[in-house]
Amino acid sequence: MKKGSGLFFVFAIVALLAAISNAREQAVFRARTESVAISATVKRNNAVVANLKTADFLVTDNGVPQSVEAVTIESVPLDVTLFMDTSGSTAGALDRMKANVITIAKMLRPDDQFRLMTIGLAVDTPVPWQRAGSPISLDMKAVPGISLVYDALFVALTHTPATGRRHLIVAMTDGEDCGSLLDGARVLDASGRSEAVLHWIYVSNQGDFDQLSIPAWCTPTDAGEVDFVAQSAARTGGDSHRSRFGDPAVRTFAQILDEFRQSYILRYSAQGVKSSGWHTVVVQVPAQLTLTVKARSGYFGTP
Amino acid sequence: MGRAVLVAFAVVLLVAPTARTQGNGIDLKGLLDTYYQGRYDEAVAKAAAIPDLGPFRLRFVQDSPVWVNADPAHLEGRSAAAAGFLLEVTAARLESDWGRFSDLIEWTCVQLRTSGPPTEFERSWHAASHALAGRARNRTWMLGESARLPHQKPLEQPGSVPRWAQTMQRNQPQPPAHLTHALERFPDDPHFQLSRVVAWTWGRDGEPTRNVRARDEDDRRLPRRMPQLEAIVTLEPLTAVPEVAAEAWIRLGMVRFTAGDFGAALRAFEAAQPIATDTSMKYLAYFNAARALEGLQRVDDAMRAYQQALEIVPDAESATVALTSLQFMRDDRDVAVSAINRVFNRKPGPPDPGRLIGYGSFLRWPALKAAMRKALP
Repeated sequence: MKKGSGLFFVFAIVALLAAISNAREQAVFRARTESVAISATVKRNNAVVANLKTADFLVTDNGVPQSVEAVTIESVPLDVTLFMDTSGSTAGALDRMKANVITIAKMLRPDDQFRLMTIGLAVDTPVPWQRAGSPISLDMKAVPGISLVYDALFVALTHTPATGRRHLIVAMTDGEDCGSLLDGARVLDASGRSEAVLHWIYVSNQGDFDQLSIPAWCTPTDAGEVDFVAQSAARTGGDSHRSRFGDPAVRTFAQILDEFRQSYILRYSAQGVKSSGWHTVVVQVPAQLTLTVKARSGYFGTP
Repeated sequence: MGRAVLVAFAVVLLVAPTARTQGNGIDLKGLLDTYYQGRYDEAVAKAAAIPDLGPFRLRFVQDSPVWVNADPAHLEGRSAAAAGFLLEVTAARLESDWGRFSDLIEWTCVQLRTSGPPTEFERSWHAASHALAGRARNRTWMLGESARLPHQKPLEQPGSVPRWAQTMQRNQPQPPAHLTHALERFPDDPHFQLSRVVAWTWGRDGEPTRNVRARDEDDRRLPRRMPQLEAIVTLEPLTAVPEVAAEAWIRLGMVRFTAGDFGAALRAFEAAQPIATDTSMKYLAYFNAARALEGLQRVDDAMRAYQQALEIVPDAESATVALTSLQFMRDDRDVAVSAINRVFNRKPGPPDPGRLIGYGSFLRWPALKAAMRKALP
């Protein structure tokens, strides 16, 4: 063997190992056909079930059973996006919203990251990504007459967490979009491509609206037809909840966070299915049919 | 004139009950002095920080005429300063308190237009006030009930309204039709003519910033009312007036866009591209062309047009959201995420033109405010 070809061989091996290692790391929470990762929460009544093994799960990808490796991920650090709807419809609760942000940020662990998104005449990030526990400088104000819920959810869904981290989005909004550039269908599409788990906490202002502020002017074209926010949450493996700003919303957030930390990541290499297009994923625990499984409902495969 | 006096009287009646026992703590004359001396931001910041606007409203109606008349040699300048001060305080509290200032603005309009011949300050003051009403999309305040465009016949022929209804109408407070006062004073001003047709579309245009979905079969069978198309008759001549031509093309394109005629919308936006001179209009010409191209399912062309818009206003939030949503759908994730991170992982900046275009001339408020200050006598 020539010296040059030996070097090339070693280099090729190193490159191959690096590529494999990188692929594994990249695949941890990515919904890609080469290595699919599905977030799933399993509950018995309201209690999280956290002791299941790989063999307990049945996962089908477009109807084809898959071979699964299940991992609990309690120790994985989180990127948490909190989206607060600061439009006119929820503006009466601004003080309670601010208090909620502070309380919620304190619930996170030191290695978690946190950001706050709000909406006004644009999608705003009053608290960009920062380490949990860092002081929060809050500048939140209500902007009536517009409610960019869809655009904000899209921006939130695009975040790609660093390797070994997970992304949780909690959206506190009445879900009524008004004036977004994007329509609900595009948000739903993005939720199928996102790596985040989205939970929607429905909150409303309960009629506390100042008639002398800027009036609402939108005439939403798709409101009432399809509940895009709820569908987007379900598609990511998240859920819809109802609450009120203040202590109830904090309690709901705490429950979501607790369950998310105890959720499973079910990993498999898709077999027997075409890689491109939408893949419907169904997760079951066949031996215990009384358990409730909330899991990502699918993913878009790469061609 | 009689109606103007009535408006002034009504404002006094309106503000007095809420503030009769208050208002002593507000030094309105001091605030006006500060503004008149050119310390605009200081005066406005102090006034905007007043928690309860009831006393401020009373003091303004009672004290500003006294303050103006205190120096007869500078009546015009002091009258203008009081009017400018009010608009700037309104802007500072606009989102939460538009309804608490709109009647004061009209009261001030009465003072200005009954005090002498039209002035350049009055023109710039009107333009600035239209911008604020634009944020509220307050069509009736700008044009009155049953607003008509120049080519449209009056809604009701004389005599067609029953006597009992006429009595009821007389007893109802009528909206001020603020913009019509500007048009009476400055009939040839193309900006005011454009403002009129833009205000007329508010509430008839649905959501001008939303992507319009392809209509399904059920939609196509239904007759679709599109009253906003009437605006085209007024907009078309304005495309030949150099001062407003670019914006007139853009507004015309938006009317076409909201009616789902993306081809005609695209042609209008493209007509604006070579003639737009200021950054906002240039951006809007490309940004809206991109949206029309999306409507035409020409996604590659749309992405190119969004990128051209982003060359004009780098990192504009609206084009970033629109472009990255297309990239994300194509699984061009890394490019999309990189742009989103750059634009959104930072403290909020000023909203870009793509977000403000639905609010009339509000997107030009900073420039209009500066022009108003400059025109102060």
